[in-house]
Amino acid sequence: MKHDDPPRSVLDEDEGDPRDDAPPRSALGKVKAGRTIMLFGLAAVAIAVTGVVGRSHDEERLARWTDKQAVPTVAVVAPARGSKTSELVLPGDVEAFYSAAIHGQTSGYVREWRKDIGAEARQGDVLAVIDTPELDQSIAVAESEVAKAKANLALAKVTAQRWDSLRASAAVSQQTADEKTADARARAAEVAAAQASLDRLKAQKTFANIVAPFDGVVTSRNVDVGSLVKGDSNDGAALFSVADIHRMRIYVRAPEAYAAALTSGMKATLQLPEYPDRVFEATVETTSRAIDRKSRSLLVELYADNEDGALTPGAFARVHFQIPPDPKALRLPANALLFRDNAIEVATLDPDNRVVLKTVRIARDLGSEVEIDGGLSAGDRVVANPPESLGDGEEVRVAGAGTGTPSSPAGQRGARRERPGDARQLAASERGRVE
Amino acid sequence: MLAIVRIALSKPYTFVVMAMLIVIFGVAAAVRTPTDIFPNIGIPVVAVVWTYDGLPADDMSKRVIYYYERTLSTQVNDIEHIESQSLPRYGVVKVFFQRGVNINAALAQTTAASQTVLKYLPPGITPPFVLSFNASSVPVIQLALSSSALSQAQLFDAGQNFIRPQLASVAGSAIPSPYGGKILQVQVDIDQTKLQAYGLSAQDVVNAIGQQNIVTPVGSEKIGDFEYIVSLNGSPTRLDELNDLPIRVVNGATVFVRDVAYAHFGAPPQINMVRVDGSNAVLMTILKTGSASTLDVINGVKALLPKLRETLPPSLKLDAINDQSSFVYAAVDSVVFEGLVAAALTGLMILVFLGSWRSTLIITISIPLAILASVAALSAIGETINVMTLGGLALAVGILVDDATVTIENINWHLEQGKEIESAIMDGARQIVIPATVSLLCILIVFVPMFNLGGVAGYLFRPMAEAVAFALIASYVLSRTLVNTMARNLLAHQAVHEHGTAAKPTRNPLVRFQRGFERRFEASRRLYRDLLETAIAARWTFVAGFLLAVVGSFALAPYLGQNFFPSVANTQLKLHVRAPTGTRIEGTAAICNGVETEIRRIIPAAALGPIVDNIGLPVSGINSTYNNSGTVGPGDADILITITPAYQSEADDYVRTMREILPRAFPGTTFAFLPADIVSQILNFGLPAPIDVQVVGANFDANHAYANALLKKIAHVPGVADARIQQASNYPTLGVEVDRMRAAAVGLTEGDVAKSLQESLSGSFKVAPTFWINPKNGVAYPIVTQTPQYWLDSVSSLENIPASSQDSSQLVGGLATLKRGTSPAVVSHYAVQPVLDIYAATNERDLGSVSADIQRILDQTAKDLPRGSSVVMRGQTLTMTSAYQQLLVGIALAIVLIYMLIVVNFQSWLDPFVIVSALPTALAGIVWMLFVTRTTLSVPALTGAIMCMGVATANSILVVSFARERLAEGVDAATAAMDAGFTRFRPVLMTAMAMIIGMLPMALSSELNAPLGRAVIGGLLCSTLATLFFVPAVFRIVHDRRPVSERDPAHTPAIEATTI
Repeated sequence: MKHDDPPRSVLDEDEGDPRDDAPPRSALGKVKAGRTIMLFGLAAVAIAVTGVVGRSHDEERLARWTDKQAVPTVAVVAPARGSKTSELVLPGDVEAFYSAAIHGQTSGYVREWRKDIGAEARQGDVLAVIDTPELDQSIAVAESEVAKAKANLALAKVTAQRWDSLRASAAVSQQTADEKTADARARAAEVAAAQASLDRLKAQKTFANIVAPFDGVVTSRNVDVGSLVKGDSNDGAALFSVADIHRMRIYVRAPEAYAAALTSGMKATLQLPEYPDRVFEATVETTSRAIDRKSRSLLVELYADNEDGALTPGAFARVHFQIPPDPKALRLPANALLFRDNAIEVATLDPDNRVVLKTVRIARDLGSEVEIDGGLSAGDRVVANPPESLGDGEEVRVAGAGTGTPSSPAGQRGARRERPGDARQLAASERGRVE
Repeated sequence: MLAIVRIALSKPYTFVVMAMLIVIFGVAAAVRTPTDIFPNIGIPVVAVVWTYDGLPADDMSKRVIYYYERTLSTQVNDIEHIESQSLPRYGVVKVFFQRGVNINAALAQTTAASQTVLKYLPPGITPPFVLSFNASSVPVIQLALSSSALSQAQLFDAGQNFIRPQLASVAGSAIPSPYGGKILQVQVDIDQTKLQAYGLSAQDVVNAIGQQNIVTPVGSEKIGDFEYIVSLNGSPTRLDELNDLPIRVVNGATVFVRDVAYAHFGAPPQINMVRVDGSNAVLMTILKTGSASTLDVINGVKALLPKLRETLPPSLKLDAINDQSSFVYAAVDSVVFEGLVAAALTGLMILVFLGSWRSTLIITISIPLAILASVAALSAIGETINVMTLGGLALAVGILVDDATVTIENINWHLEQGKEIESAIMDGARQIVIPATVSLLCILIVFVPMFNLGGVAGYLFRPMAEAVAFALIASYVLSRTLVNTMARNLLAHQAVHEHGTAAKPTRNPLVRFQRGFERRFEASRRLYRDLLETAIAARWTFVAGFLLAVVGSFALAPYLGQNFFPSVANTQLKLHVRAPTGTRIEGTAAICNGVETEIRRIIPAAALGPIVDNIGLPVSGINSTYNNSGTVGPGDADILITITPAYQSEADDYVRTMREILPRAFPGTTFAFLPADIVSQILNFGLPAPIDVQVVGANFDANHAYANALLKKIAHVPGVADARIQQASNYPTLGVEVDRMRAAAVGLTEGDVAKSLQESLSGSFKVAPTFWINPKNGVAYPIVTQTPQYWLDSVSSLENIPASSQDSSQLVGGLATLKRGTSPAVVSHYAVQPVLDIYAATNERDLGSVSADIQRILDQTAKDLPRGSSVVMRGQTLTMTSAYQQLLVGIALAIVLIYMLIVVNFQSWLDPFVIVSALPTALAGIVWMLFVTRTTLSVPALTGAIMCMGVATANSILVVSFARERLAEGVDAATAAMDAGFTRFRPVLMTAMAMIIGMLPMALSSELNAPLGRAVIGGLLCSTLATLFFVPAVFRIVHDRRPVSERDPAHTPAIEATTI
């Protein structure tokens, strides 16, 4: 050691003279120190290297894991050929096939009525009888008028014959004989007139019996025994209404927008508030072929059979028109659509499971499904519920399609479960609870 | 200072009383001070919640939120930034204020602004809710309501109208509306078919109810001696009577409400569903707000539960779940335990080193006193007892020991010199007062930068720094006062000084152990001397090698990685499930069923606590304000999974397995794990993910395309998991495009169509609010007239809704075409600009590296950015970066400040440099320790680094000051350096060991502060080496250059010999 000059180090006081054995110890110390430092250094380097290598190894593993995770998994659906029937629902009024309002034609008081509302009536059945004493008297008068006219005629005929024979003998003037003949002819006309008058009254008498004009149901009755009926007046309410309800006519005022879709022969079903669970069949018979200016609607007429009489005239019905399917169209679930830059696209997969975006055109929207009429072929594998970020050329993993997905069957069951069905079920249970 | 010491000797009772006062106040403070997990994070936030039923997100953003935000920015002062979320039905604006804002003024201004804009917003909108809360408002406990007999609506009713008002009395609690269940209200279900049959519209029903169910006071009448109140049967007393209200007379027949509709107790279509272990329930979340303590809130709620149960129907089951108090207790207890272990270990070490039970007793009495004093001071300035302050106290233990030990040792040394006890104490005090003050100042100085720390880190670490500072000041004062008083009484009779000479033979094993220790210690001291000699001799080589090793060590720093805070093991997992956008709630529930089945397959039953599903958007916007899971619609669900503590360590494996399996099993559905426990929720500051890349700008479509491209790149960054775009823009939408000309032709307007659609699809309440008061419980229930949702279930049923005005009616389908499209599910703004958030979490990699990789991607794609848009990283990354910058600047500043302090103390530029030159070694030690233990850098680790600076400096000062003293005595630099190292070997080692042992329990724990402990230990290990070898060597190099004669002759030893 070099520093053995005074003033001496404090160490010496404490420890005695360290330099007595200094050289060997120092040398030993040096060697030891060197070796220790070497060892420490080596250990440190070893630790550092292991640490760094271990970390980079972990990082590589992590990078692989992340890359694998970053590939999105998608479910695919195949477009279905042939579309489903879609429906158009419009409100309609149910009317009887025929409906007649029956008015009185002869005046008088109602003596009796025989059919109440709801009663079925055959053609010619008497519904009510009107008491017509006045008419009866008029008939008596008319009958006597006829008798009188006939008597006058007989006299006139005899007179005319007599004057004719007298003329032959030139006993009377030609003029006078002609007068008598004409008189006889006038008398004959009078008889005819009186007879006609009588016949008219008799005919009127038959209207005292109010009869059903066709087979049907009495839908209204506005008379009662003793009520006065005025003949020849239309201003009063009809005495009876009779409706033929074997078949019904349904009138629908279809908004102009739907006018083109509704054609003769189309099938439709009816839904009535009073029969929530029953469906009635109907067919479009005709349309008015003219849009009503006021409501901008087309009057559509449908026929529906009504054997059991469940349909009633005046009823409100929801008419479900079945719009026939387009056999060429492809159907896709609505959740497969992507809306980008105002274009509608679907993501299809090529054989390498890379995304190919295709622009499609929607022909018809059926709610949970859409009809595609261009841009898609039937064999395409279409991604259902595509992630928003899905881009052209991106690689995806197809759910359930191998490459050793660790997914367990139960999970896939859960995933593949028919969702609309589920939802409906839930909706139904919800309804149950709410009600 | 010395006067105080004199008082301590002459008037001993003074400081004994002081100690007793400290005990009394300290214990009182410890008992009274609220206990919490974290210090209060008082970043003031005001949230404004706008509600408008049926309004889609896009309209909410454009018509309400945007306008309001712009008003806010002009009317309200001290705004830091504004964030908003526009969701269907409601919009939430969060206004973040500058630190130190007057929150009451801010609230008043915000409220005033919302009144100003009200007239400009859609008609019928109600004034918003205005809530004040802060970042530490997190759920602390949840109540699950379930029942076998009550309906979901009744459960919700019990929660909303009966439990919630009662719980509001718990101070510091905030209780949003219950989650799940159904809202009890009077539902008037309209039958469209019957309405059409009668030629009525929904409006007629609404009007009838509005006119027949009224609340109008009619007045009073005086008859005879009395004034009678005249009351009117304005409102039906039985709900059934609503059905008997007449609507209109049609063809002589009166149409009643019952003919076309049905009024009953019901619920609007469910939008939020909660299931606890698969069965329907209602969940009430209780948050803590303001400065209330978590434990107080939880205990307050729990205390109310028995009383609450009595008032509720017996079949209602009320369970407290997700109780965070156990977590808080566990965290606090473990820190307290660590502190106690540290104190015990340190005491033991002192005993071994000093070999005197009397000395040890004095020191061990002064430690708890210093801590109690610190607790009292913390309590006085309004801090809670929490993990950070307790951690600070644990940290302080190591340093506290030092102060008292130095004092006692010095007294002992003087006693050994044969002095009388009192003069020994006085001499010792005189010698030590300056170095003790300097080292106290050193440690205090390093904490100065921590007080400037901004953001969450600042709120967390300021209390910790305060705790350390208070404890150190208390210990400094105690060492001058009480320690001296005790020394006078205890050490006076210590006839023989214990260590060193004249050891009597003894059989006491402890004494023998101590002597054995002394022997070994002396041996290692001699070994040290040899090594030091070698080092000083080969000083250039040694210093160069040492520096090379230090600098080389820094090469490991990049491998450490950076996190904001270390992740702690937790027992709760929150899985966010996002079904394809727009999935109806029943569909989401079905997906959740499948996910739950899968979870039960992955996690063994023994490891699994209750699973809570929270599906869909909560009923009230207030819930969305507090909720940080990013739920935007019925397709979103949170699944809360609780892992039993025994399987806590497996949680990460479960998460990885779920991340692998779930997305593959449920294509189209995205999954993300959200911060679930109270700690990560606070640290994430209301965001659902630590990484938040924001694309800011008005060009929505272009930004979306850019964000989608960015997302794909980010998803490939190693260590990124759950990357997703929060703002889904593909919410399926059916556009009803009314042909106004066609409508006008039949006498209808857009308004008629709108009104008819609204009444059918979202109910009448927004247009014509009416209420029915249930006389039985006094609750006013809204009456909502609506077509039941299950009757409108197809495109054609939408087309067939009649649009009607006074004298005209037409089907919607006859006037409009339906167009399928998409619309945004949520619109977010940041600083009044539309943003898209790409959220991601980290997985097995540190936040710093992941963020750096993402930043690289952002830089690469900057050219693709749409014009006028920008992209930024916010979230934890931003908080972390700023915290790191502040702390690194803090460390640098601490070094400069220390340097200057020592310059003043030594009156020299060079010697302080010698001391400071040892500091990089401490940093190298930290790097090594973190590297070996695989701990990432984090704010606690950096705090530890700062702490190290203080202690390392204090140690080096001891060595250098002694060397200077020797130099002044005339020895050459080499000898002075040698002597200093050898003499100071014992105190330096003791200080360092006290600190290291004190930090051991913390370093070995897996708590939040573990990196702090590890950093301190690593730093001290190396800085002690530097103090013992490097500093003397540098000292010699520095002083060799100047001959002794040239040295400042006026130099007086500023530091007296402090022989310990």
